Order: sequence, then C-alpha cells, then structure tokens
Amino acid sequence: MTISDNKILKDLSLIFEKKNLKFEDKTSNLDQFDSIIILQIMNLAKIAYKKNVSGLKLMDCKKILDIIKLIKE
Amino acid sequence: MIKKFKGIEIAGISCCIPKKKIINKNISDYKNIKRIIKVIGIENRPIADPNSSTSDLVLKSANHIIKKLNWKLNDIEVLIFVTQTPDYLTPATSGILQDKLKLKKSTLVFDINLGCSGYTHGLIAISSLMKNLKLKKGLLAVGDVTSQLVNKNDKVSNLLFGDAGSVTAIKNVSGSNKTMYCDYYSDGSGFEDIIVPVHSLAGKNKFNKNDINSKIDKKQNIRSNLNINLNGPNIFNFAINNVPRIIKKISQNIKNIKYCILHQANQMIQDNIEAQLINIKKKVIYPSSLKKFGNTSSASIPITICSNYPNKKLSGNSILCGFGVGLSISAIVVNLEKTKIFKIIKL
Repeated sequence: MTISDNKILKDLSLIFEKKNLKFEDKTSNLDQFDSIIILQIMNLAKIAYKKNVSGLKLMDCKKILDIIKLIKE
Repeated sequence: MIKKFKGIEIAGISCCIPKKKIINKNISDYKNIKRIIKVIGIENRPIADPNSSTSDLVLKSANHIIKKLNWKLNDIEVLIFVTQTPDYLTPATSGILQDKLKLKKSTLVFDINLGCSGYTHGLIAISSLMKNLKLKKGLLAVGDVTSQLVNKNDKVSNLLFGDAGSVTAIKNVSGSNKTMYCDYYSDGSGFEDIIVPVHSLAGKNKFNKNDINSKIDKKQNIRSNLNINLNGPNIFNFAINNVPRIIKKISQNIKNIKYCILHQANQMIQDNIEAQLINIKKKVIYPSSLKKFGNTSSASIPITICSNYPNKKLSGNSILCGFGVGLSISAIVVNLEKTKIFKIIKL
C-alpha cells in the first residue's frame, strides 16, 4: 500500500484539531501533544494504515514529518 | 486451544455502585478536557467514599443476588473474589465476605489478584473448580475501587476509573447441554504496564517514605509509587493486537453469537476492536457502559450487562472478553438466555 504524506497530514490535522498543520511544525509547540494524542495517532495508524506504531517512538518525534515517517515505516 | 465446560450456567448477575459520582467535565483544572472526554468516552464515574472498600460494594451485591435468586446460604459451596484493591494485603477479602454473608464453614473461599481480565478469568476458575469438585452452586465476586489508587494530578488516569462491585451466581447443572467455551492469553513481560510499584513492608518492593512523593513523567503525568501507573501506549497496542485475534479464534465455529461484551477500557480501544471484528461478525451487538460508569476494572463486563439489559434476557450466545493487567486476556462464549440480569443497585 502506498501511503501519501498529504493524506496522513490531513488525518493528523483532524486529530490535532489544527486546519493548517504543516510537515515542519514542531511537536513541542503543539500544546495538545499529550498521552491522548499519542493513543489517537496509534489508533489512526492501526485502523487506517494497518500499522503498529510504538508510543515511545511517537513521543520522541520532534516534527509532524517525523510522525508521518513513523506511520509509513 | 479452546477449552469447554459442559453444564455450567450463569444463574444471575448483580452489580452495586457507590451513590457518589464524578462528572468529568467539571474537573476544571484540566486543559483540553472536552477533547479528552470525547476520545475516552467517559462522562461520569461512580466513586467510592474514601472510607469504604471494595468488599462493601460486593457485599451489598451478594446479598441482593442471593435474595433475588432465593438461594439458600447452605447451598453455596464456593466463593471466589477477584480484585486488585482488596481490603487488606492479607488476609484475603473473600474470607471477610464469607463471614459477613454467613456462608457455611465448608465453603471454598479465596481471592484472585486481577483487574480488567478478572471477570472472565474468574469465570474460568470457578467453572473449572465447580466441574472438577462437583460443586453445585458458587458465587464469583469481582470489584475494585481503582479511583483510590489514582493520583488526582494524573491527567488521563484520573478521568478513567469508576468504582463498582458485582456478584455472579453460577450453577453446575448435571444433564445440562449448555456449553461454555473459553480461551486465554498471558504476557507477563508487560507486568510494568499497569502497576502499583510499591506495597507493604515486605520484599524488594517494600514501602519507604520517599514513595509517597509524586514525580512528573515525560508526558507531564504526576504519580507516586503508591499510585496506579499506566503505560497507555503499551496497553493500547497489547489490546488492539491481541483481543480481536482471540475473539476471532474463540467464535469461529460457534453459531448464533448475538453479543460481544468487552471490558470497558476506553472508547478508542472499544471502537478499534469493534472495527477489526466488524467483517467477521456482522450483526453482533457491542454494548458499552463507558459513558456513565467509566472503566470499572474487573466489574466492567457485568456492569455493561446490567446497565444495558436490566430485567431482560440476552438471546443467543454472548462473547465476554476481559483484558488488561498482567498483561492478560481471557474470552468466554456463554449462553445467557436463562440468566437473570438485575438492575444496578447503589450503596
């Protein structure tokens, strides 16, 4: 399955409730990047992309692009 | 391999919750509270008075079901209590319950230390004992006051847990053609994913005065070593990668499955598991009790049954599946057509 970066970005925008989310946005600047968001991203990866993503690796993501790369791994 | 018990029937299920409830949206010092409530699906939670214990809830539930089923105390031959919040570290709380219920001295009585998989593990344990020892009537008590283990500054755990007790009455009926199926899965490598790190004054995890102090983790959760510590991502991955597999396995050759009653962890796990199973069992109903009761640990399956179907009969076969602390999973397929489901009572 080829996964488009833009499709994942759109899905992440919904999770972060931020319309203009960008690849280069830093997670440290997103005040919602908490335990619940981590679970929501893991849920998205499993249901929409059939991928298992590690919560620990997600927590270490510095930018939105890092999250997208992790989902695509 | 799927195991079977013939002749074990669930005669009735009763539940008891504390009168006091917490409304999550009123916890005002949380940022993003509405978003969190939407994701976990928990609006209200019954909370036990700090001076009460799990056995108070279970005792009321036990007295209720014994009276409603018109069971004689002398006929009860086994009482198992599943909890991770016992009244004491030792002795077992089941003995206290036996005494308060005035069950006969020859009753087999003991505790099992389990949380969210406790109801289904407990059903397997009591069914197996009743078959092998030829015991006719037994009580499976489950319950927890997990809210008392949670640090009030733990951003997520403090919104999750409700307190409840429940008692299920079990009969071993010779000549019955009812069959209960079960399967289970244990992964002790995840023991730290749901843990209260310190207890008592014995062993290597004994209490010392520094354990009272709260610490802040990487995600700003505040917990002490006396609080329940949850590793949400690991629990999530364990549940979504194993529960659907076990349910598919246990249900593949069983017809007429109408209900799938899952442990109520949070809405996202419930939805995820349901989504993975949707193509396997298309017309199965997945009832929930999260909104009004939260995660009631070992009592969540009976709470879901009693809150959704009070005084009703569940037709067809039902899958019950508990999962969590250990880490552990167990699933049961049982026919609840004759089971008396009682309305939840309050303490």
